[in-house]
Amino acid sequence: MFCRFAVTTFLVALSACRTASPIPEPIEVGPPSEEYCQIAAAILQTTVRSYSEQPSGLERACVEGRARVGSTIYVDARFSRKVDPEVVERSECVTGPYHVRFDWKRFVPAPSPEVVLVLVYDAESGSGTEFNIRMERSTWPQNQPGVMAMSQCGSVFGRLDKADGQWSATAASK
Amino acid sequence: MYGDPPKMALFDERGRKVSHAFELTASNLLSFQNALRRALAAFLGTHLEVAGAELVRLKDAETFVRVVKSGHYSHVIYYGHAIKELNILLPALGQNLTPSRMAQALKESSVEHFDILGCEGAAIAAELSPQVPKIRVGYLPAKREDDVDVDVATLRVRSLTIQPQTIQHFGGGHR
Repeated sequence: MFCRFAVTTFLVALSACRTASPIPEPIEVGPPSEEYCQIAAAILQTTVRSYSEQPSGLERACVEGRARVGSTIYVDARFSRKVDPEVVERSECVTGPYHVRFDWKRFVPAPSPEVVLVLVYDAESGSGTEFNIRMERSTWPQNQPGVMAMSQCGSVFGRLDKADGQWSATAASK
Repeated sequence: MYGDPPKMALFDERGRKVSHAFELTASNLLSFQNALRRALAAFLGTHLEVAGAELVRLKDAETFVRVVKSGHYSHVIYYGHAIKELNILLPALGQNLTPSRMAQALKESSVEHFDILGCEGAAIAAELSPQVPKIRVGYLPAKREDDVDVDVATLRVRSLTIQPQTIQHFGGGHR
């Protein structure tokens, strides 16, 4: 009797081992979804300006001519920390005239011929967060790495900071 | 003559950075020039032979004036940035080239044909042309669209493609 109980217990334990979920890889937790929209808004507000306002920015008239449909300017924003792009729970948000799209898993090209592309990533120095904003064709994920549109409206690099719960973007001088 | 291409991050289909940013440096300048020469040859087709053309990097507006007035060139092509809002060419940040400044240099030159391959160059060409009536001024009627292929390991330019369109012209006696 004892022997039969012991064998049954062993089989159950073995079965439990086989069906147990693997230990998940550690996931870096980024800011909550609404913050991604704030970050994109901060970058767009700082950089998409007329040439007179911001000579080193992304020229607004050029952006509108290439990425606007009706009153909407289309933006693809991607966030990557270390290796993997962060998963943003919300797939899109609207801020001012900008329709910002985050979803790299279920990518659908914007209806405009080009989009404003916002790339946010860890600084090469190892501390802080940086960005590059420029124009791309709306089908850009189909390109091989290294193939890109020569952004006709300019290209801006810069740094992101968070103070008192608010994100701010600072464009680099060049 | 060409202005500097914009500095741009290199990324994959998910938007992950895959290399240092691409920008024109001493180590990839030759590859860019070779790619630009091939791209211009394909874009211009049989209209103009660019195999023997001299490529000049416009780091500043003064270089434009100096090169144009050197007396060595009959046909000049500008490939670079233009700002529609202010009607200027912008070969490099802060280096504005207004139509009047270009006209001043072109009048004192041997240039007979000047093509502006900047995006939105029609208004600039329209303002420039009456100031240089003997010179044929070309422009792109539609937005310029280029693709660049960069080796992510070396940052050298493998190819450059200028989407085809027909150059339109103002003024001048001949092509």
